[in-house]
Amino acid sequence: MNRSKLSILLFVVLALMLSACVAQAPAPAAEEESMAADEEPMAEEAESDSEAEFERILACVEENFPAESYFTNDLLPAADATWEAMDCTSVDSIKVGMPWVLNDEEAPWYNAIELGYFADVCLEVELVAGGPGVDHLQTLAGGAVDIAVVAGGSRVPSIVSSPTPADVVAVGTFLKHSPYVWLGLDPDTPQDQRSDKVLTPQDFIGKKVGLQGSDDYLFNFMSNKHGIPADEVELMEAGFTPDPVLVGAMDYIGAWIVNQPRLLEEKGFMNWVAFRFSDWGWDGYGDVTVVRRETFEENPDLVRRFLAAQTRGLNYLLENPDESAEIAVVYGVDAQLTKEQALRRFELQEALVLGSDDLPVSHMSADRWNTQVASMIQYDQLELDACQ
Amino acid sequence: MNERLAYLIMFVSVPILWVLAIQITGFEPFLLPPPDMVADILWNERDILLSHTWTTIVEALTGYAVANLIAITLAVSFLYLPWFEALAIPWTVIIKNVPFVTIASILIIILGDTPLPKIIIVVLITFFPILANVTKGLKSADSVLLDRMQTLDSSQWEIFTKVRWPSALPYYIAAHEIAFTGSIIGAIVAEWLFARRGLGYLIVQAMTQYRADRLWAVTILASALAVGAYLLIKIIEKYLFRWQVEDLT
Repeated sequence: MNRSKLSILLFVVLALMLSACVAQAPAPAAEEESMAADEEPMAEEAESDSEAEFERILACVEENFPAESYFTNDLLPAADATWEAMDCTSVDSIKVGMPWVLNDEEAPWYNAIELGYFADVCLEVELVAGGPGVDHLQTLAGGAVDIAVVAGGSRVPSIVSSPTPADVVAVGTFLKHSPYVWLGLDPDTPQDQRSDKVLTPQDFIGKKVGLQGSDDYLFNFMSNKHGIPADEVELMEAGFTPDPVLVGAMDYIGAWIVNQPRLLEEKGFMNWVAFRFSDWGWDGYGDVTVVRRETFEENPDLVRRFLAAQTRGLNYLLENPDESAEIAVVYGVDAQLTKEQALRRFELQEALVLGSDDLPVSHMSADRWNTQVASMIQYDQLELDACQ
Repeated sequence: MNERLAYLIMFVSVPILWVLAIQITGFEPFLLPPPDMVADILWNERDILLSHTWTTIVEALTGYAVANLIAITLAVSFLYLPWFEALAIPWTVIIKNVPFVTIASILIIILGDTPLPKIIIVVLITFFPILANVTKGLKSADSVLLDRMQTLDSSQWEIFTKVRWPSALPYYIAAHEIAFTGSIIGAIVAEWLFARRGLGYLIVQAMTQYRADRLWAVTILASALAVGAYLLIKIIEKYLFRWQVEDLT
C-alpha cells in the first residue's frame, strides 16, 4: 500500500473512531438526567427531613464555624453618629475593588468621592472596576487592593473555610437581602403594564429555567425545600441577559432584581415577574465590604474611616436618589446609563438596602450568615468537614 | 537530546519548579496550592474528574473531527474553484475571529443546552489552521510531477491522491500540532462559558467555591490532555513520514 493511500485510510479510520466515540458516549440529555438524579438525592426526601437536616447543620455551623469568625459590625458608624470632617495631616491612598464594572451599582462610593466624604476622613480612594473574570476577593487576599466590595456575600465564608483559604473579614454590607431572582414575563399581564403576580415554587413546574454555570444548587434548594419534583423543571444554561426569555427559548432566567428587569423594561416589557429567593428561604448579603484580617487588626482606624464615608454615601443615596443618579451617570463610565435608569435601579434596590431587620443600614447579623452557610453546606456549595 | 528524555525531565521538573515557585514568591495556597494538596484531589476525586474529563474529550474530538471535515472540504474546493477561494477566505477570517462571548447567547438560544454550542466553539478555534495549511500544502505540489502526471493522462483523482495530497500531508500534520491541542482548550473555554459538565465547568465551580486545589487539579488534567494530544500527533507524524528517516539512514 503506498503512502498516499495509507494516509487517506488513516484519516478515514480516525474519522470513524471519532464517530464511534460520539456514538458510544452517553446521550447528553440522558446523561444530564442521570446526573441530576445523582446530585439531587435530597429532592426526594420529605420536607420535614430536609428541615431536620438543616437544623442539624445549622447547629454544627454555629459551633464549628460561627459567623463571628469572619464578620463584624464593630467598625461601622453608629446609627446616630454625627459627621465631622477630620483635620488631615496626611492622606491614606487606598484601592477599593468594586463588585462589578463601574455602573450605577456603585452609587454609594461615587457619592462618597464626589461629595468629599472620603476626603473628609483623610482618604484618597481609587475605585478598581470589577466585572467578568475579576474577583476582587482574590485580589484583596493577594494584596492588589486594600478593600473589596464583593457582590455575593456567600463568597466570604467560602474563601475563609476553603482548604486553600484566605483570612478576610466582612465589615459591612450594602444589600441586606439577596437580589437573586428567577425572572420571566407574566403572560396574563399586557406587555405595557407592570405585573403584580407573586410567583411561588409551583409556578416553575413544567417550565424551562436558564441558570448560570454553577447555580443549579438553587434549584436543588427549591426542589427539596418546597417539594418541586426535580424532573418537572427543565434547567438550561443561560448567560446574563434576558434575551432567551424575550425570544421564548426559556421561561425564566437567573437574574439580579436590580439589573435585568430594567433591561426588559427598556425593551418595552413592563410585565416582568420575579421569584425572589430571599422571600423563600435562601437569603444572603450582597455587595459586602471585606478587608484582610491583618488590615482589620493592624489598621482598624483606616477601615473605620472608610466605612464611615461609605455609609454616609449610602445614606445620601437613600435620601437624595435624584442627585445620586446624576452622580452615578457621570462616574459609571463602563455603562451608558441614563439618569432614569439609575433611578429605577435605586427604586428596585431600596428594600434590599434597608432590609427587614431592625439593624441600621450596612449592619449584618450572625444569624443570617450562619443560616446562609448552613444552606450552602446542605446544598453542596461549601464543605465543612465537621458538618457534612 | 532524546525526545523521551526531554518529556521525562519536564514531568520530573514540574513539581520541583512548583515547590520552588511557592518558596520564592511566598504565594498563599489560595493562589498556588502545594503540589501534594493538588495530588490529593487528583487521587481522591478521580472518579468525578475522569467523568468530566471524558465529557471534554468527547466535545474536543467531535469538534475537531468536524473542523477537519470542513477545512479539508474547503481546501480542496479552493484548489479546483479559485473564485470560491477568493469569495470564501474573507468569511473564514471573520468567522475565525468572532469573539465567542458575543455569540454565546445566540448559540444557547438557537441550539439550547446541548453539546452543539461547545462543539461549534471548538470548530471555530481549530478549523482555520487546518484550512490554511492544507490549502497551502495542496498548492505546493511539485509542478514537474504535476506536468508528468498530466502528460501521462492521469485522472484528477490520481493527480490528487498521488501528488497533491502527499505534498499537503506534511502541512496537514503540522496544522494538527497546533489545532489538535487547541481543541482541548477550545472545549474547556466553551464549557466555561456554557456547560454543566466538563473540565471548564469544574473550573467555574472551583473558582466560585475558592477551591484552588481543585482548580489546579483541573489545570493539570487539561495540560496532560494537551500534551497527550500533541504526542499523539507526533507519533502519527513519525509513522506517516518514517520513509524520510529511512531515506536519511
